[in-house]
Amino acid sequence: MDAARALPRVGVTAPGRAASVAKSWIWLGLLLAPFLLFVVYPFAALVKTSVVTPTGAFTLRFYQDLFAIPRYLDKTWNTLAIAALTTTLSLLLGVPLSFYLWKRQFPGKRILVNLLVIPYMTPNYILALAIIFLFGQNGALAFALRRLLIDPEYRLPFNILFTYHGILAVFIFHSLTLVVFLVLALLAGIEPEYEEAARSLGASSLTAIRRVVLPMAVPAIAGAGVLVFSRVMVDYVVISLMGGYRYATLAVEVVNRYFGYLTYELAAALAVFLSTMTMAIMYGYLYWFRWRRRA
Amino acid sequence: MERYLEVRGLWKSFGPVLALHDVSFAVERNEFFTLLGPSGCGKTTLLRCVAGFEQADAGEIAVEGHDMRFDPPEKRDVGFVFQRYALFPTMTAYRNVAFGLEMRGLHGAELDRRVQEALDLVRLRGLEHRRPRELSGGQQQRVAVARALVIRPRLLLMDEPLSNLDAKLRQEMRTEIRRIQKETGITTLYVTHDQEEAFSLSDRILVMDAGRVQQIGTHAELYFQPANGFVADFIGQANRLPGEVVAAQVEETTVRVLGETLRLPRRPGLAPGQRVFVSVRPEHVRLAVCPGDSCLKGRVRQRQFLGPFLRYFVDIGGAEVVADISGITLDGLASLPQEGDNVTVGFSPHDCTLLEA
Amino acid sequence: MSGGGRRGWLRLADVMVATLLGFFVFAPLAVLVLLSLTEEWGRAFRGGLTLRWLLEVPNAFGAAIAHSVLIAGVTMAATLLMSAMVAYGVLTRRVHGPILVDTLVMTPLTIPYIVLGLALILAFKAPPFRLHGTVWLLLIGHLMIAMPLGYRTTQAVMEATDLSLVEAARSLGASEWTAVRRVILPLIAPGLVAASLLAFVTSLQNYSLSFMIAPERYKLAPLEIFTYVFAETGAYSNYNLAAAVSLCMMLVLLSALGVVRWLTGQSWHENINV
Repeated sequence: MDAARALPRVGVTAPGRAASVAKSWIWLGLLLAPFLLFVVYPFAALVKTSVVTPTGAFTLRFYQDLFAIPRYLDKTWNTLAIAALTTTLSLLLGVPLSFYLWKRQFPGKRILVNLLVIPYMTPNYILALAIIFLFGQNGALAFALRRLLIDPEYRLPFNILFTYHGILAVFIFHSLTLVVFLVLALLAGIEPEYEEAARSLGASSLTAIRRVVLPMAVPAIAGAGVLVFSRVMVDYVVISLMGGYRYATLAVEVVNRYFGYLTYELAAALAVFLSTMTMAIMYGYLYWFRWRRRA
Repeated sequence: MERYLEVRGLWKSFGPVLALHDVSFAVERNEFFTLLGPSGCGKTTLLRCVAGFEQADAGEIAVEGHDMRFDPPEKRDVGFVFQRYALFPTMTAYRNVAFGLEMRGLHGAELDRRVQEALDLVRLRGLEHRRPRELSGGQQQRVAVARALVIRPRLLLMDEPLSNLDAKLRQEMRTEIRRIQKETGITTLYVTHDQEEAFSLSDRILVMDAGRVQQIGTHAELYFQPANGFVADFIGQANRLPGEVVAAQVEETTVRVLGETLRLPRRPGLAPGQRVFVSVRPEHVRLAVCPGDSCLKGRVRQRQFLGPFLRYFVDIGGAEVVADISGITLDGLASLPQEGDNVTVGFSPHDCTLLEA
Repeated sequence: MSGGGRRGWLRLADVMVATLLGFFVFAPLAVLVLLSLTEEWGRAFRGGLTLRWLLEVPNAFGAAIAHSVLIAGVTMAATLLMSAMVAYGVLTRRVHGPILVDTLVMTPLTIPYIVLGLALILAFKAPPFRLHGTVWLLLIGHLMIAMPLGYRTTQAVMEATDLSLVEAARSLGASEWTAVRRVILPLIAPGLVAASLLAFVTSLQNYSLSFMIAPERYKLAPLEIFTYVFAETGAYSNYNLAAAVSLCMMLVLLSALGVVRWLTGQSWHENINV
C-alpha cells in the first residue's frame, strides 16, 4: 500500500491546489446553472416585464397602478387579512392545544399525534374537497341531517362554498395541524426539569409553563406562524376553489390578470409585489432567528 | 437531637420496578446529609419525592413535623439544584435568581437586594446580565445554587450537581458548596454516586442500594464499620474473605477462614456453623510479618506501584487479597516482597468486620 | 374544587381534545373513502357499496395519472442524480454550502408557485428559448421546485455523516472511490432515496405551478380532479369519482412519505417542505 496515498489531503502542492480550485468552480457552476437559468433569469424577465411599456420604455406606471387603483389595494388587503386571520386563529387554537397534548397523557394520544401527519400532508385542494363533501349543502352533514329530520328540503344554516368562513375553515384545518406539529416537536425536546425548577421556586404549574416553557417555545411558535402566514398568502387553489373571485387574493389576481385579461405587465407587477412580500417575511424570520440565537 | 426532616416508610414503584423500599431516615437542622449509592439505586427518586416531583406510593415526608407528602412542589419551599442546572435559557442570570422571589411577591429594592446578596454568596457579581449559555459550566452551577438559595428554602436539595463539571472544577465547587452551606446553615440533602464527594461534603451519609437503605452514619462509621457486604464493597475497597463461624464467645467470635482460624471481636447474632465474610481494607493488610493469630499464607501474583503506596495482589488458596503498603521509599522498594514471592498476610482483628454471607 | 372533580374535568377535556384531533385526522379520509365506495352520494348506506368508482379511475384519469407519474418520476430521478452530485461534492470538499449558494438554490422555495409559473412563461414564451406550451417547461418548473428539497435533505444527511470515515477507510488501504462506495454510500443511500421521494411527492401533488405552465390539453391528475367537481352543469359533476381519485392520490402520497420516514428514521416534519 502506498503510504502517501493513505494520508488525508492536507498539504496539496500548488498546482494541485489550483486544479482543485478550478474543479470547485466547475462543480458549483454545474450545481447552480439550472437555478440561474430557470429561476433567476425568469424572475429577471418577470421584473423586466413589470417595468417596461409595450413600446419598450422604462416605466413604474404598473406599480403606481398597484397602489392607486382600489381594486388592487383590495386584493392586497384581502391577502394580508386572510393570512393574518388564519395565522392568529390557528396559533390561538394550536398553541394551547400543543401544550395540552404535551402535558397530558391519555390512551391513544401517541397514535393520534403521529396520525396528525395525514391532514398535515394532505394537499390543500384535497382538504378543500373533503370539506366541501363534509359540510357543503350536498355534503355528508347535510344528508345526515335531512334523513334525521326527515325533511328532504332541509338546508344547512351555513354555506361553505363562496363564503369567507368556508375559505377560512379550509385554511385553519390545514394550518392548525401544522402549528400543533411544529410546536409539539419543539416541546418534546424540552426537558421536564425546567418546569420542575420553576415549581420548586414557587411557581404553579400554569405559571411555570407561561413564564418558563412558553418563552422557550417562542421560536417554534413564530416559525409556525410565518409558515402559516406565507402559505396562505401565496395560495391560489383554495380560494379559487372555495370562494370564486369575491375574496380574490394577490395570487388569484395574478392568474386573473394573466389568463383573464392578458395584461402581462400588471400581472408581472402584482407577482413581483407578492413575492417581495413573501421573501421579506421568510428572510425576515430567518434573520430574526439568527439574531436571536446570537444575542 | 432535633429531627428537622423526617422520612418514614417511603415506598415508590414505577410499574414493575420498585424504586424505594421502605425508606426511613431523619435529618437534623443545619445538617449536610448525603444520599450515596450506585446509579439506579433510587436516590434521585427519593430526592424527587422530597421535592414533590414524584408522589410516593406510601410513607411520610415531614419537615418540622408537618407532613408535606401531598403538597405540590411550589408549596414545599425547597430549593432544588438539578444535575443539568435547568437554568431558564430565556432569562439572564439575574432574572433566573429573581424568579423564585417574584413568585413570592417580592419586587423593587428588596428583590434587588436579595438577588445581589445571593450572587455575592456564590461570587458571581458582574455576570448577572449574561444568559445561561454565555456562562461556563462552573458559573452556571453557581447561578443554579444562588437561584435555589435566594428563596431561603427550608431545605436545599441537590441532585448530582457536580457530575457535569470536569475534575478540577469539581474539586473547587465541592469546597465552595461546603463553604456556602456552612455560611447559610441551610439543611441540605445531597445526592451523589461519588464516595469521595460524599465524604468531603457531608456530616452524615445514607448509603442506598436497590431502593433500600443500607446504612446511615458518618464517614468514619461507614468506612470502619460497614453494616453489610454492599457498604463494605461500595465504600472504598475491601477484601472479602469467605469463612465459617466456629465458636461465638462472649468477647470474641472465632472464624475459620481459608484454612486458618481467626479470633475476631464479637459480633452478635452469629451462631457456630454460619457462613460469613471477613472484610478488611487493603491498607490494613500487612505482608511478611505475622503479628498474632490472624495470619494467612499466600503468594504475590502482581505488584503495582501507585505512587503513595504499593498495591499487592496476593493469592491465598484460591482467594485473592489486595494489600496496600504505604510509607515506601526508593531504597525500601527492593526489600519489599516481589512478584512470585511467598508471603504471610496479616491484619489486626480490630480492623476486620464480620459480615453475614 | 375537590381532586376527584378536577380529575373528572380533565378526563372530559382529554376526550374533547382526542375527538377534535380524531376529527382532524380522520374526517377528510373518511369522507373520501365513503364517497369512493358508495353507489350514489346522498344515498350512502342505502344504495350499497361499490367498487365502481375506484375501478373507473384508470378509465377517467388514465392519461392524467400517467402524465403526473411521468413528470414526478423524471423529477425524482433528476433529484437523485443531483443529490448524489451534492453528496460527492461535499465529500471531496468541493461544495461547502457558502451562504450565496444556499440562498440561490433555496430561492424557488420562497417564490410563490404562481409567480414562478408566470416568470417561466414570460421568460420562455418568445425566442431565443421558446419553451412555453411544451412539456419541457412543465418539467423544468417541477425540477426547480423539487430539487431544492433534495439539496437541503442531502446537506443535512452529509452534515450528519462523519467524513473522517473516508480517511479511516483509506488508512486501512482503500482507494478514495472504494472508501466512498463501501463506507459512505451505504450510510447516505437511505437519505438520498428519501430526498428523491420527497421530490416525487412535491411534483405529484403540485397544483398551482402545473396550472400555470402545463400545456393545453396536457392532463395532470391534480388539475383533472376538479373537472368532475366543478363541471359547468351539475349533470357532469361527479363527487364520487373525484373522491375516488383523490383517495388514490392520498394513498400514494402517504405511502411515499411512510417510506421516507422508514428510510431516514426521522419524524415527519423534519423532511417535509412546508
